[in-house]
Amino acid sequence: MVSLEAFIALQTQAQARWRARGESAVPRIEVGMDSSNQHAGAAATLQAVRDTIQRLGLQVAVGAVGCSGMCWAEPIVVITHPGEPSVSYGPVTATAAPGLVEDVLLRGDRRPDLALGVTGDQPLEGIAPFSQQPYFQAQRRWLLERCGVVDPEDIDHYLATGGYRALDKALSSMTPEGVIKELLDANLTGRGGANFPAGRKWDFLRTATATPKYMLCNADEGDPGAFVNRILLESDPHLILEGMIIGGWVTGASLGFVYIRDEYPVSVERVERAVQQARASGLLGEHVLGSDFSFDIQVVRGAGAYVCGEETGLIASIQDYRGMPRIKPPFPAQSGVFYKPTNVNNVETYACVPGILNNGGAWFAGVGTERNKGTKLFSLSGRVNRTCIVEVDLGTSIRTLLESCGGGLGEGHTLKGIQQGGPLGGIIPATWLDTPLDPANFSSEGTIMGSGGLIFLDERDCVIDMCKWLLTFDQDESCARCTTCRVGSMRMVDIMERMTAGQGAEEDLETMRHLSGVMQNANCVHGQFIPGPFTSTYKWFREEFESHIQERRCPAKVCSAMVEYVVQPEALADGHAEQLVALCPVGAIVRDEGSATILQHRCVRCGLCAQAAPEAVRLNDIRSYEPAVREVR
Amino acid sequence: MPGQQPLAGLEGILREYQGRRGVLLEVFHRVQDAYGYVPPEAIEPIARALRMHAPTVYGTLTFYTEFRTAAPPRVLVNMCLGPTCHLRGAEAIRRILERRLQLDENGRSPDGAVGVHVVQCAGHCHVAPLAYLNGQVRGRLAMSDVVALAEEARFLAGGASA
Ligand SMILES: Cc1cc2nc3c(=O)[nH]c(=O)nc-3n(C[C@H](O)[C@H](O)[C@H](O)COP(=O)(O)O)c2cc1C
Ligand code: SF4
Ligand code: SF4
Ligand code: FES
Repeated sequence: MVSLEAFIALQTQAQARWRARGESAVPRIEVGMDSSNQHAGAAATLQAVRDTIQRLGLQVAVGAVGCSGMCWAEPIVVITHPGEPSVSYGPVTATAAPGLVEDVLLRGDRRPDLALGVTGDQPLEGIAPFSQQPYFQAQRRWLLERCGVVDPEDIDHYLATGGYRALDKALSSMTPEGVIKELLDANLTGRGGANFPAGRKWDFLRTATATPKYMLCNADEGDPGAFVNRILLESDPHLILEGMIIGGWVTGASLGFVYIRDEYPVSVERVERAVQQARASGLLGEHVLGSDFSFDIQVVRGAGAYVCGEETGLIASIQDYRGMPRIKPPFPAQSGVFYKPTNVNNVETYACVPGILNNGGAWFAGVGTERNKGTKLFSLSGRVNRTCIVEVDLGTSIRTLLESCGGGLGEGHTLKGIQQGGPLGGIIPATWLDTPLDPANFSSEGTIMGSGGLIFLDERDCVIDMCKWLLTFDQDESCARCTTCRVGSMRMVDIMERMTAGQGAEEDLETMRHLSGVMQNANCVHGQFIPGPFTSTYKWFREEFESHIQERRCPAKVCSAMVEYVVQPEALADGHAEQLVALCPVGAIVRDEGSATILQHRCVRCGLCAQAAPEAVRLNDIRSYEPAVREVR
Repeated sequence: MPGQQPLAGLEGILREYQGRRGVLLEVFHRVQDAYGYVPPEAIEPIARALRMHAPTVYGTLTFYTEFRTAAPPRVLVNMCLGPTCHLRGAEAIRRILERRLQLDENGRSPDGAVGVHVVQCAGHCHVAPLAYLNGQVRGRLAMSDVVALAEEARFLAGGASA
C-alpha cells in the first residue's frame, strides 16, 4: 500500500509533535475536560492546578484530555513524569488539587490514596495498573482507545495515534466495493437500536442514482440514561468524522451532516472544531488528501425533540420542518435530506468503520456472538455504584458489566431489574444478569437491547412507577401526527397514573393489552414501541401490578400517593418534635400536643423527617389508614 | 412589521442565511442566543429571508421544546427529571421547589422572576440528582440542599421574597 503524499505529510508532522510530547523533560498534568468531568467540577480543578503550578513556580505542561468512561471518579487528573507511565487520580476536587500537585511534583509522594491507576502493565509504587483492574479487564476498548488519553481538540493527537490511516488506505488502495465487503465481512450492524447491517445500507446509497447524496450521522442520543455517543463526540470526534468521510467516498456522497442534540453543547463545540481542523488539514473539502474526492461536513444543532432521533424525523428536522417521522418506505437511501439519497447511521456505527478498514472485517467479526459481532458501548446508571461508560464484546453478560465495571450496587441492596433499550425498551428482571448482551437475546424475548443505556434498579425502586415514568416520557415525546400514538399513549399514561394512585382496576390491564395491540398500527417505530415498557413490565413483574391494583399497595413504597410518613408520638424523643417541624422543607409537620403530626396534603414525600428520626417516623401504606386523612395530590 | 424595536440586529443575523435551506434551526438558535427567546415579531423576517411560509416557520419553532417564544425568567432553574435523577428523588425536589417558590402551573414564581423547568437526562447521572441554576450545575443534591437552592434562586432574582 502506498500512502497518499498529503497524508504522509500530515502524519509525519503529527508524529513529531506527539514524540516531542512523550520525550519532553517536563512533567505533564492533564485534566479531563469533557462535559461529565465538567459536571463534577473539572473547570475549577484545572484552575486550581494552574494556580498551584504558578504559586510553586513549577515547570509543568498543563493540558486537557477527554473522558475515560470512569464518570464516578471525576474530576480526573492525569500526571505523567518524564519517562514514566501516566498516573490517573480521581476524584480530584479543586480543594484536593493543590495538595495533589504539591505532593506528587514537589515531595515525590505518589499519593496512592487518590490514585485510580497507572497506564501499562506494571504497578508503580503501590499503584495498580489499569490493565489489572476489573473495570478495564472486562473491556475491549477499540472505540474508546483514545478516550481520556488524547486531547480531543488536537487533530495531531488523533493523527499520531493511527487516525485517518483508514481513510488514507481506502483512498489509496481500496475500491468502494472493497470497503463495503469489509463491512459485510465484519457484520457491522447499526448501533442506534435497529441493528441493520451498515454495509448493506451503504451499498443502497452507493447504487442510488440521484445526486447529490448525503451522509447523515445521528448524534441525537435521546434515550435517557444512554450517553455512549457523547463520549465519542466529546473525547474522540475525529473517529466519527473519519468514518463519515470514508462513507462519503464509498457511496459518492458530497456532504455530511452531524445532527447533535442541543443538550450536548460540548459535543457541538468539539465536533465543530474537529471539522474545522479536518478542513484545514485537507481531510475535508475539495480534493480530500489531494484525491479527486470532495466532501464536507456540517454540524446541525438539534432543539430538544426525542422523535428527531428517528431517522425520518431527523431528516425533516434538517429540512427546516417539524421533526415528525413519516411512514417508510421510501427509505432515506431513496429519499432523504432534501428528498435526495441519504445514509443514516448512529455515531458509534461510524466510529467502528476506521478500525474495520485498518484491521479487516474478519478481525472485527472475530469478537462477539454467533449472530452479532464486534464490541458495543454501554452506559451504566441508576443504582449502580459506579456510573460509567464501558466498551465490551457483544455477548458479555450484564453481570460482568454490573459487577466488574460498575462495582455492583450499593452495600446491602439487591438488584430488582434493569431498564434497558431506552424509553421504548423495557424493564428486564434480575434473572437476566447472566444473559449475554446480544440484540438477538432481547428480540427473541419481545424487547430490544437498544443503543446502550442500562439503568439498574434495586429493591428500593418500583417497576410500576418506572413503567409510568417511561410511558410518560414516550407520551410527551409523541410528535402527535397519528391519533393512534398520540391518544393511545395518553390513555396508557392515564391508566398508569390511576394505578400508581391506588385506583387501578382489574380491567385496566385488559385495556393496556388492548392498546398495546392497537398501537402496532402507529406510523412510526416510536408509536409502535410505546407499549414496550408496559409489555415487558407486565411480563416479568406481574405480581407488582397485582399488588398495586388488588392490594392497592406499592411494595417498594415509592408511589407517593400510596404511602405516607407518619410520626409515632411514643417513639419521638423529647424535644425532637420542634426539630422535625423546623426540618420539613414544605412546612408539613406541625406541633400536636407535645408531639408532631404530618399534614399529609402538604407532605411531598421527601423523606427528610424519616432520615432524621428513623425510630419515630414511619413510612406506611395509606390503605391502613382512615380515608379521612387521605388527600391524594 | 411595525414596532420592531426589540429586534435590532436581526437583519444582521439573517444576512448570512438569505435564501438558504436547512438552516432554520440554526437561525432560531442564533436568534434565541441574541434575545433570550425567539420573539414572534421575528417570524416574518425569518420567513422572508429563508423564502419560507411564515406558518411553516412558526410550526417548526413551536415543535421544539428548546425554543422559547417568550422572554425567559431572570433566574432559570432547570431540573433533570431523567431516570437516575428520578430514582434519587427528583420528583420530591421539584415539589419542594414548587412550594418554596410558590410556582404556578408554568413553573413561574408569582413575580415571574424565577422559573423552574424540567430537562431530560444528558448522561451526567454520576452527579444525580441535579439541577442547573442559571446554567450552573448543582449536582448530588440532597433533600436538605433544596431549601438553600430555592433561597439562592430567589436571591439571584432580586432578593425580594416571592
Ligand atoms: C423514537 C426513535 C428515536 C430514535 N433515536 C435515535 C437516536 O437518538 N440515535 C440513533 O442513532 N438512532 C435513533 N433511532 C434509530 C434511527 O431511526 C435509525 O435507525 C438509526 O439512526 C440508524 O443508524 P444505525 O443503523 O447506525 O443504528 C431512533 C428511533 C426511534 C424510533
Ligand atoms: S407514531 Fe407517534 S411519533 Fe411516530 S409519527 Fe405517529 S404520532 Fe409521531
Ligand atoms: S417527608 Fe418531607 S415533606 Fe413529608 S413531612 Fe417529612 S420532611 Fe416534610
Ligand atoms: S437522569 Fe438526571 S442526569 Fe441522567
